[in-house]
Amino acid sequence: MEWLVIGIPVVVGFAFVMGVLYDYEIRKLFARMQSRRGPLFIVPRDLRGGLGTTRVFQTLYDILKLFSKSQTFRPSSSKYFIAAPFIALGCMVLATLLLDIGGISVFGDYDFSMVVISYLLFTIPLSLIIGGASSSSPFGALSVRREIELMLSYEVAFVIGIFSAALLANSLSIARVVAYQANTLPFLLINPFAAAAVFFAIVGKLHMKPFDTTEAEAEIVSGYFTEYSSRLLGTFLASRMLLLFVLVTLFIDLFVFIPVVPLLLYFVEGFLFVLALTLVHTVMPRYRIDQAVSWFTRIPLVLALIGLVWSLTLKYGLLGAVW
Amino acid sequence: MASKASDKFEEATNVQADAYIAERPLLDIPSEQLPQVAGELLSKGARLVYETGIDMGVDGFDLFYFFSSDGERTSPQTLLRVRVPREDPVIASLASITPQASWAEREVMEMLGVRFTGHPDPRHLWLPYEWPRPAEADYQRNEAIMRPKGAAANLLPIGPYHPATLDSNLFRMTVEGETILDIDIKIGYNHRGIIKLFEGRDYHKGMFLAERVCGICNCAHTTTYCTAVEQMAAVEVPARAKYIRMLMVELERIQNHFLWLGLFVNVMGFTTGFMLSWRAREVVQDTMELVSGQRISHGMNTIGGVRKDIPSAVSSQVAQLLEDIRGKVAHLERIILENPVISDRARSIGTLSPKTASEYGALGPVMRGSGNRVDVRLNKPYLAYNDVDWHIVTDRGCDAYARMLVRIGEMHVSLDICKQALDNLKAMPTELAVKGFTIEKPYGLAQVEAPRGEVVYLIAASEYMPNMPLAVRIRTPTYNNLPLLKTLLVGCDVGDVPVILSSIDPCFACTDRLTEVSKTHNRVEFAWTWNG
Repeated sequence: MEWLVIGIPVVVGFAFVMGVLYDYEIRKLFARMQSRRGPLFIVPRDLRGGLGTTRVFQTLYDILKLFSKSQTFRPSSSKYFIAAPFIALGCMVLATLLLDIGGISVFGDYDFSMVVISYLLFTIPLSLIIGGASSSSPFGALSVRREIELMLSYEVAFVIGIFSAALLANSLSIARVVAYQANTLPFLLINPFAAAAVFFAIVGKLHMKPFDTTEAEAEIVSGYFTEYSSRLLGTFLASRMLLLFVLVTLFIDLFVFIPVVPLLLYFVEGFLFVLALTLVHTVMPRYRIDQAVSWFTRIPLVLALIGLVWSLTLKYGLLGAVW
Repeated sequence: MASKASDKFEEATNVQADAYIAERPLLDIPSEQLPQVAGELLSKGARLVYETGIDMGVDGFDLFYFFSSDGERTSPQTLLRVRVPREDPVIASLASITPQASWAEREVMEMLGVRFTGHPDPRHLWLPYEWPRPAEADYQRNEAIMRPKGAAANLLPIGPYHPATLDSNLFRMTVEGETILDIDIKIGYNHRGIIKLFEGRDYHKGMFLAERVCGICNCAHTTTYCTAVEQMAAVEVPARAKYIRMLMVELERIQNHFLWLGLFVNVMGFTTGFMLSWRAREVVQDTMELVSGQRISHGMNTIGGVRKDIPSAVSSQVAQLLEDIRGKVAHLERIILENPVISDRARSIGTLSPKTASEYGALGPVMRGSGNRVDVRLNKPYLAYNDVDWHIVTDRGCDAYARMLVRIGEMHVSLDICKQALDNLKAMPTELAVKGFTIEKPYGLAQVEAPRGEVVYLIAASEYMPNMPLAVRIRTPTYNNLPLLKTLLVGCDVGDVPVILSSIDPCFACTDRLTEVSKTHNRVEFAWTWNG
């Protein structure tokens, strides 16, 4: 029990810091590819008095700034407006505890961790929907409508994709999928279809381009975030940092785990995965909602189904004997 | 050419040209003949370029109707002038015949108090709808139109302050789900009173005002203004000045299109394209700075010519920069045109048929994106466009994507024109400007193809003060293109609104310049200024 009192804050703290670092990577690479400067890695000597030596934790400073502001409420917004960011944050804190971080399952093995984590990840769009719908903003309402459509399309691909990995490892425990890959090849090579489907679903889950339709500033201001400010928005951003960490780590756990030294390769894999996300984010404009939904049903869903069939084939089918 | 045009017109209408404004016949007609004459002109394929009014004091109000039938290098143009008495300023509305007159008449109604009978939408244009004095005498009817009922349930506003439209304007959209059922466009949030300022200043000072109508297309505005004044003074601009003006206007077109392209892809969420496009625009700004010494307001034009020469050393640098720009255009073209999402987002969006475009009098790349060959440079050549080799860019796609292709094509054409202008400048006499002039003619009228479409300046000379205009009227391209939005937007998705809106390249700063409204101590005060 004492171990949990120390362990939970350490793991959640690590997850949050890693989320902020991944976000820094996205911001920096995105800026450099657009020939902008982005948050400074090394602050020039003259500016260090005000800015400190580095702006790697820029997103953290942004969140801290939000916590210093006061929230305004629309009279017509309901109490779920306040609850939504905390639901998101709470579920993401729980999700970090179930992960296997770079070969270390801090809280041991749990038989159905993959099922639980997919439900916990599902609460992020749900909390956005609750928050946006209860904010009584017309932009929030439109954005919620879009989020429901988008969520239904990417969640299916995501769930089928991760269960293809579970089928290969014959277990619904993340730790056991990791352990299984340690003895064979990474599942990215064995079942690239499922990996690709999960990758695209992650782009959708993070609302990166081309799937940031729900937050399209040119059309609906900030969508569900329009009425959010200060601490509540800060809480949403903090949960988004944890979400980034959870999704990156989950992908590494399920598809690209290479056991050499615990944690060492995790950072490299995490960096490369976020680089891939950033590349998509940089080269893509935003889909309209109907186009996004149709794209998700045309490509990631089909990939996920191929991945599922491929996993089944490997497990029971013609190649079963060879395997 | 002018006499031929007037002959044709006289045949059609059986009236004699009373005077000429810059070679365009001006016909005084009684107010009751107006609908018939205008209807005849419109049915012959002319478009209503501009309609405006000038307050003539005790004599009443002079209303001007400027028609043009666009043809290649020969555009018969006609001005009608109708005088309405001050005591009872009533005239039949043309808005029921052509939507092109709608905004202009609403403006004249609220600014001069002329009443247009039979106007389908006699609400205020620049003033708030709730403004206590109605634009039209039929107050009850106006009141009913001003306050639409039952639209609040699913009303989605874009503006007056919205991240998609950096200028202030308000689109009140009635939406069902994502589909737009109805839209109301309200402009008039940007008040500067420029047209009123023209009236108390001499012609030279007016040029600085013209330069400040729009930051993006200031060369086009000063060129139009100077051309109109030069016509009034019967001054022929030296050839070198014409080429320098043309170079500046074309460079301005390139920088405007870079700016537009960046914004256009940015509203689709392609921030990378936006950053690269605006980075490329910096090179054009640098080029213009090299020529004029200024990045935004170039101050190159003066009445009678230009203020600065382009020496040969600068000329070769500019030529190098032009090559650099050419490379950047090609690079951006590749990035943007090869992107499948851009194509998905912009194709078959905001479809504008060639017929509707002509009917509404669309201008610039919006008109050309629907396949219509309307370009002042071609229809009524000015400066040295007749002496250089260039072609009009049109596209038959009729959608937002087609408008983008037209603008990208125009960037290539503008680069070619700039290159030829630089080459031709080398062997040209060095005279830059004609010094000294007296205003001889009562009216000046000029059209210039600005990056967004045709800009028109109508200047009336003051009878009593020889160096000051009585009135200056400005018609910017957005003035004609913005009313189109209603036809483009109804029925489309909310997600397409920014794409369609930016595809017409609206410039609200150009279009709303004018009224001043201040509200103090619960008493509304109104300073009478003029709209253009």
